Amino acid sequence: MEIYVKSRGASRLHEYEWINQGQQEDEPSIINRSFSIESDLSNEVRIADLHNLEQPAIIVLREGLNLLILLTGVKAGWNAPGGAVYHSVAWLSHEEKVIRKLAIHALKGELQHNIILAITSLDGRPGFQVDFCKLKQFDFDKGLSLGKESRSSKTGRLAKNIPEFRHELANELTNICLPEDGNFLIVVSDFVSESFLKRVNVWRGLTGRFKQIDWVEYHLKKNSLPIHLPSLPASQQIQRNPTMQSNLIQKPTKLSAQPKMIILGLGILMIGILLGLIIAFVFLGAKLPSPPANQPLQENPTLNQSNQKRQEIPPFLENPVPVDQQDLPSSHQSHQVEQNQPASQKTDPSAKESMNQ
Amino acid sequence: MTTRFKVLMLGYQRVGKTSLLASMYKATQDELAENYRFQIRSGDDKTSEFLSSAEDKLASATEFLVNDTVAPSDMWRTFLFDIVSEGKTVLQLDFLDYRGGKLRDQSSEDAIKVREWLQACIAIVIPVDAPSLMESSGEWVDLNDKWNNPSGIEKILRAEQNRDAPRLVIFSPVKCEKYIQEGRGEELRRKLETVYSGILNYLRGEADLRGGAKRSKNCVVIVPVQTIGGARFSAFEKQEDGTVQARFVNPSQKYDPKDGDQLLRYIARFALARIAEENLIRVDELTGQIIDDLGWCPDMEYAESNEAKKNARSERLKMVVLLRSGLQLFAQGCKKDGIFRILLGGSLLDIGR
Repeated sequence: MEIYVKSRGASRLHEYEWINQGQQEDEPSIINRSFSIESDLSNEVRIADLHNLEQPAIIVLREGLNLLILLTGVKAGWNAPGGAVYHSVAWLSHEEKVIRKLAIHALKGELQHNIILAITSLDGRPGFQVDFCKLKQFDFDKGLSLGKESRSSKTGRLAKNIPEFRHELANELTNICLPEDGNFLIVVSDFVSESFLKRVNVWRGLTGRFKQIDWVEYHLKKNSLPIHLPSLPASQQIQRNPTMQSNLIQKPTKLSAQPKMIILGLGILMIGILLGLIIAFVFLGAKLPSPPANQPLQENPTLNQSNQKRQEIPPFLENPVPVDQQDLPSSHQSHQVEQNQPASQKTDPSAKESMNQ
Repeated sequence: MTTRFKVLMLGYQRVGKTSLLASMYKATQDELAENYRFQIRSGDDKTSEFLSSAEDKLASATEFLVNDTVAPSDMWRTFLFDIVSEGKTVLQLDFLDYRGGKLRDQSSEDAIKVREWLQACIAIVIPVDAPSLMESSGEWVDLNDKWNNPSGIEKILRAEQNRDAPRLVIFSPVKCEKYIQEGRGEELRRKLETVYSGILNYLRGEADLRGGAKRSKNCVVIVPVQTIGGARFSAFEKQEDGTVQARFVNPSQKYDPKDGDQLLRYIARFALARIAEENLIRVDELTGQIIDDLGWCPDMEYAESNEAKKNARSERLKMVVLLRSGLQLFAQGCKKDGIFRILLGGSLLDIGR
């Protein structure tokens, strides 16, 4: 498990900084990662979009095998220019149980006190110091035992961010595991609206801006995948956290007995179909008439759909500046060239970055 | 997919980047909401939530206001503003805000993001803390270098590479109520031009060589914004830890920021002019004369029938009219008097330069 803390000192010269367990300034890379939503690359969501500095929030996020729980908005005992200082703590682990237990404690409000005790202000850089022992998960686990665990449901649930529902969610987590897919697993934050929680496909969401008086269920969409938008070409990117990088290497997952049987069955079926096709080709293939060379190609319905969609695009977007490149092309000719490029080239930001260099 | 332009707020810590964004947000609630034909609105929930809370803080600090009312930024964030015409989003402006102190750490996420936006943005807003610019003498002689850090900003700008597209650079004096109210706007402008002369020289030297003719690549304007809503600078004070705080007083006890809309108007005008120039207008590169005010339109070029061509032409005309009216509207709304000044490349704010 890795733990990171963000806070700042009291002086104007200080800034909010993340530090790791070695008391070194080090930012967990997942914090700035973009996740695509609604199958639209221009619709990206970062953790920054789910909370502001001053309101308490609990966010549980999955990225591949990595799980993160982030607690923000924990008020420090000192001020800085601009008002109160607020701490954030991020725990990262591959172990679902570790993160789930932390989420239960956080929802019950049992972590915040330890966080305040663990972080103290400091005159020099970075302006604060952390007793990480006070933030280790085992310290909180006295008296917490998880019940008979079952798989999580595929239904999303939202409710108002009040103690009653936070406790209900904590109780639910003692009996069911966190979902194995999806990025935004739990979001408890008054910063976001109900519609935003649905857009990011959150599994369990609580917000003070929720209007209903009870839990509301909704259908979760298919898993959204993280997109990696490098700030700079790979050669210039700074490896800020080698430990995190190594953690990103995925371990091979073990398949349970049931999926194994299904895969075996499907394999046999595929071989059967393939053999059937070969036999049919050998015996009947020569008799089939070949299409005339000048026969027109059948229209592609997908193309028609995209053309229809194109008609609906508002005025300026018909020809002009590509959104994700943010740059104005130099001439009309450049538009022509661009339009003739394959789609993958148009939307690949890394390709653009390398071109810029 | 809507055209989205990046706008970079370029400044060190506590200079007033977030306050400036909050003033812009307030303008979208007031001045910029009035016109039906073209409105500028907050583009998403997080922009409204975050900036309205920053604005609340500025509004609640009415009596004695020390500098630093708005909470410091804790990470880089983007804020979206939509330019809307008759219910349709015409284009979006995406502002980058971040921890200003992190500009000193080249390897920080914030500095990396700033470099990325510097290459791609259509506009840069440089907030200038007016009191430290104007009062930097005697005991506070080095305050401007520490807070506004013009040489640091110049270094960042000079480090950029391979940028082709024209760009708008806005110097925005903030917390400048005292000087505007005392009629010292001209003094503020002159001081700004002197202190930032290195940057101005650099921007002046950058030429747009596309098409053979040498033209300015940068449009540079001064747009002051009274971000603290009527509170006036009174004095600097040294703190126990050796740092300096600015003290402001607000006798009227009203939060009434001014000219937050001006930044958005200038940027919207520049963006619309760029869209027009690059897409809707064909200009003779040598003479600068407009040779086709409908630009290159594939729907007209490849229309299969006269009817289709006619329709495409009619749609294109509508677009040109909309764009021209937007430009006209924003141009009318852009202040040019007093300390407001176009220093360089004014033709980039209009079509057919």
